[in-house]
Amino acid sequence: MNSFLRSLLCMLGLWLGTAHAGEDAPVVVIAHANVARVDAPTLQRLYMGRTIELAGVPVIVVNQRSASDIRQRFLRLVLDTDEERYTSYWTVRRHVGKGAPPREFSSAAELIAYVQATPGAIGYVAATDVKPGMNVIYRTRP
Amino acid sequence: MTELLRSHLRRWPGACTVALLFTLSAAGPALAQDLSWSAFGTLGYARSNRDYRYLRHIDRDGTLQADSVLGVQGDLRFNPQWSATVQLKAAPSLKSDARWDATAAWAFLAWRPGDDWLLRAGKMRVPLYLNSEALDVGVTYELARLPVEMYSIVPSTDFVGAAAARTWTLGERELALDAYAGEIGTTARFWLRDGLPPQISAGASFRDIRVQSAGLVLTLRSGGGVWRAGVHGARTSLRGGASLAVSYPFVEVAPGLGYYQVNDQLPGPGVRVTSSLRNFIYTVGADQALAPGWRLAGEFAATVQRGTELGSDSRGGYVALLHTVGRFTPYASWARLKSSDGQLDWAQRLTTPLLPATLPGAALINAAQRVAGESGYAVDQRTLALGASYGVAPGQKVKLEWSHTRVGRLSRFVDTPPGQETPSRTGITLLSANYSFSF
Repeated sequence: MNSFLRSLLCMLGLWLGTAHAGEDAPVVVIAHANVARVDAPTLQRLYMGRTIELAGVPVIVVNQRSASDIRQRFLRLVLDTDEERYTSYWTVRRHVGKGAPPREFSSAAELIAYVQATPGAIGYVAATDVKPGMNVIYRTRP
Repeated sequence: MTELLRSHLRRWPGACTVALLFTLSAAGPALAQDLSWSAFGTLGYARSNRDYRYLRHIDRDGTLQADSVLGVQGDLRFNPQWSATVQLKAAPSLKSDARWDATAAWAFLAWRPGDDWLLRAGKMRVPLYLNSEALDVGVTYELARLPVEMYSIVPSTDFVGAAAARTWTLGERELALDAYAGEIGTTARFWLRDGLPPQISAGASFRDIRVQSAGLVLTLRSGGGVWRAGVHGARTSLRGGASLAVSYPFVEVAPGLGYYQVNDQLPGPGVRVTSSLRNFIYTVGADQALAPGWRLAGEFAATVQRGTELGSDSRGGYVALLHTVGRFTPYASWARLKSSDGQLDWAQRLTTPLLPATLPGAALINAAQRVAGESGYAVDQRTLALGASYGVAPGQKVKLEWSHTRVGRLSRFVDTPPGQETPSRTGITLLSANYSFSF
């Protein structure tokens, strides 16, 4: 019984640990080589469509697909919002003629390929997707 | 050639922009970087407790026509600076009470040279009201029906022209100044109880008008709300160059007995006319969070008419209190629209028979007067509404509303049935149910 309980607690601990790690795993913002480092308020303005250039360089922000874990973490940790509020914000902004929401990519690999090939592009990935040579311009705390 | 192109753009801005969107998107990735589509719509049912129609469609039998709309919007982004947008919508026609039309609500090219400037050219919507631009997208607001006392003060908020917006970021706040100028050909609807057969049929009458407008709008957005103030100038004329009456002379046929000469076919000294009417519209509005979950919204518009005793000179607005609890937002609103006393006097004078029916020609003169009286924008009414919206899912809302409109002296939103007096000092109760979506 003791062994069973110990195993159960161990599994629970592992599960909680994994869930915790998943929630707090760093989000890394990557960009094309011509984009300099930024802070969170700047990323907020970029992803809300209020800013379209950095130091005179036109930028294009892109998103991971709607409702993905990495996107939820990015919205919460960087933009200080959630999916519903973010989607509502862009629904209004789009329909008042002030621009369309950032383009979405269905996988980190596609997003990385786009960011690396497109001057001014900015996107975000999980820390585990970051490869040497990528231009990291922002990273959330672990 | 240039004139031909301009003419096509004016007549079919939506088709031209759709063609442009597809041409440019087909031109390859160098030009078309990002094409995205969205759709929106509202299925709205409304019924009243009256046999006569209110707001064109609503009566005791109920209708899906009053609030339903379906639209699709395409946004093509060439690069961070250049984009094109077209929004097509299907809605009850402006030119007929019996059919729907598909029209382009938006069709413009946008250039954003930097963070602070946005320049657009094409077909757009005047930022006259707080919800002007997203008027057809029901999920962007909580009220089942935006108060007609505010949202109907002009025949159309669309225009074809140019707009420039300058934005200042003030910490968490954003201040924007919008300037626009352009014109639109649209249709004004009037309800003629009897008409003037055989020349003018009884029932709905649709007149093609041209509205030239220009204005400035200042909008302050913060995390807690939106504040907006605007000043707009509009010049309205009838298409085809017909003139508009500015006043009708009284023709005395016997002591204490006479009529108003409402057209030059009737005996009299002649009707004073003008080629166009000028209006200035001043608007203020705010939608502000008061406390967690509580919002207060309100708008006010003053329409000032120049150079005529007829037309549209009014004060209107509303206030709404909203309380959000989870996905549920109950609200209460109160709205009021009142034309100037002078215009209400004219409307009542002209819709009241002045000549006894026994007098030769009296029927024709009385009918002509009534047509003139019903061809104005006179309104005197107020509405109390209680309703709620429920967010079914992101991008979907269901709304229910009970409202009671109290008509004062008269209201142009009421279609007077044949054989009845113009409804006055009466109430109309409405029940509305909507489902709105956007994806």
